[in-house]
Amino acid sequence: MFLARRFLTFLVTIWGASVIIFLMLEVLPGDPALTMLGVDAPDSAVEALRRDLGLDRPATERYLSWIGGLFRGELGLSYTYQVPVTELIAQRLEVTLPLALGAMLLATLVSLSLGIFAATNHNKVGDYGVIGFSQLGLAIPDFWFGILLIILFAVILQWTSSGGFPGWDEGFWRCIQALLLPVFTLALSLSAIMTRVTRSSVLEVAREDYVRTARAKGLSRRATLWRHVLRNALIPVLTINGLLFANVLAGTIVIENVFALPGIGKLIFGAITNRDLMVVKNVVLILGAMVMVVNFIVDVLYAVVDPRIRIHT
Amino acid sequence: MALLAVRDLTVDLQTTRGVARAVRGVSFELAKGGTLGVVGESGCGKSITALALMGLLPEGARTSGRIDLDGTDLLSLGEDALCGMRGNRIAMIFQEPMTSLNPVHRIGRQIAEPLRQHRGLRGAKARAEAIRLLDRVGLPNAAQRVDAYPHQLSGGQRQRVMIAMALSCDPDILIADEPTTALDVTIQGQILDLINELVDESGMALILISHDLGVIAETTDDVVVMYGGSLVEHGPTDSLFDTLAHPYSQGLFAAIPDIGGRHDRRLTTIPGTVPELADLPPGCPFADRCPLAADDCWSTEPPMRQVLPGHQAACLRLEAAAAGRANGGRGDD
Repeated sequence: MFLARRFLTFLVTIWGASVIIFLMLEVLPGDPALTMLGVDAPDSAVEALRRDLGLDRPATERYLSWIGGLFRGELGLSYTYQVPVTELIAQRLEVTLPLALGAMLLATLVSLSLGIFAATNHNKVGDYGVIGFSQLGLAIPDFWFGILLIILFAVILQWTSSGGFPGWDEGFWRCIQALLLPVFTLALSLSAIMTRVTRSSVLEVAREDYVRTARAKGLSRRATLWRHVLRNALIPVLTINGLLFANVLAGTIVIENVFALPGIGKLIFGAITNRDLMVVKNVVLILGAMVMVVNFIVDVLYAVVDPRIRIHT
Repeated sequence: MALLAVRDLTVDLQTTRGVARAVRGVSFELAKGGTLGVVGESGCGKSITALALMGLLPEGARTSGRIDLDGTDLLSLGEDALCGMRGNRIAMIFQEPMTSLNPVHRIGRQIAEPLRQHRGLRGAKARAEAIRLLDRVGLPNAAQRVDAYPHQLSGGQRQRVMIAMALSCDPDILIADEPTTALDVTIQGQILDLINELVDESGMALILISHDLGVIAETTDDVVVMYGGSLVEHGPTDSLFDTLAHPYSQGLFAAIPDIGGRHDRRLTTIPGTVPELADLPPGCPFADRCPLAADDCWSTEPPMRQVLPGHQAACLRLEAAAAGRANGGRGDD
């Protein structure tokens, strides 16, 4: 019941996002064809492009054909690349998905360990150390940290390449190696935020009455932490981590440019610069959908972690 | 020899305002199967004393004195040894049944935890024992409810679950810290009856902490009255309630609303508030609020004096207090 309702919300949100994207890019004043070609373009060329893009048709018809195309997997042709947008996005996702998910995974692992460590050493040296690290992680800009990593590992130590992506056909490990520095860079500020959330959440739950009950049963501190504190502390952590996924995707735009990775972030950056309407509109929708899928998964996990959500909602 | 002997127990807590001496030289004994009531206002050190017995004081607390359980000083035990005691030989139930159970685990699992910890019971055996315990504490439909989550139970039912949990390993001592305060009045009696019944049946000793004098009078053999972290009066329940030697005990008793009394009579209260433990003055902690206080009460710490055999009170003005009770006490109203 909870899941069915949550899934419905998910569908409605995606539909809403598609309407907003469409309105912003194609209906609001300003001629996409003119924007794409520049104001100096001859009228005849603009007209031709308008016809190519189907801009001469009424807005509702254009919207419906876009959505219909989405279901069939036909997203039109990229104006700059002259290849189907579907193909373009699929290729780029092969880079961006591992990058984003890798950064999420790494940040989650780091933040859970550091956050729990800090909370169990509350007001001791270890705690201050972790707070210091997270302060630093928040203060360092992503792109600058990326450049530092390149200088250290690619230029000085020469352990990895400074950027680029060989493609998955060229071997799994080579690709992982190419993604290593970008994943680290992206995970830095991410794990800084997540660590803080985890730490404060664990500290808060540790003060709960049921934790005292667990100790009164004779459970050791460690057993109490694992069996009674963590599962409850996970609830706010899940929320924040889900919301941060949007930041990760936004972060890929910068990181993929720093490391010259052919991913979605780089694609949309280029597409916006080149005013490649077909690409922009579909990529924005895909990015939105990814954020929504992640948050849908987070909600499902809620229900797994907390029985009260399963029954009450 | 007494089952539990507390000697000169002192607890210092770290607070934001500095070190607070929450328990000051408290001594009492509890015989096997005995029942002891601990009375006093909020903040008098009752709960801290209980947590000290459990070895569950807040971070940074310092203790001195002895807590001997069967001749073993609990204060000298390490954390591992204490874990073996808690829930096994000393169990505790708390004031807030609504928040004392973990919301994400089924109650059966929570009851099975001490069984697993101290008795090594697992799986079906632990589950069967949990059902038996739930049935014993009067939770209807125990075989089904064992799979319920805490939020599916009422406050009274949750307190029954807490009792089942405390009972699971047949402890020598059950500490009940205000076990009925958070419950509906109609449920309070049921829970107390249940605790009494279980104590009689199993022969475990009970320490009942309450500010409800009626509950204490009905339930316990002995009473200690605490104020400002110290024991101010200590004796057999009957003797203590008959005599009310200490002015503070008299004040507590006078503050009980009189159901049969006239409605226009104002409730008697003890003037002033409980002192901050961080800055208690020297002398008697109750001096500021005591109607009988004289100059030396503010300077001299009152020693425990015998009122009757086995019944003592810490007051310099015991005679004046006895006279006051004879003349203007509640019994003559």
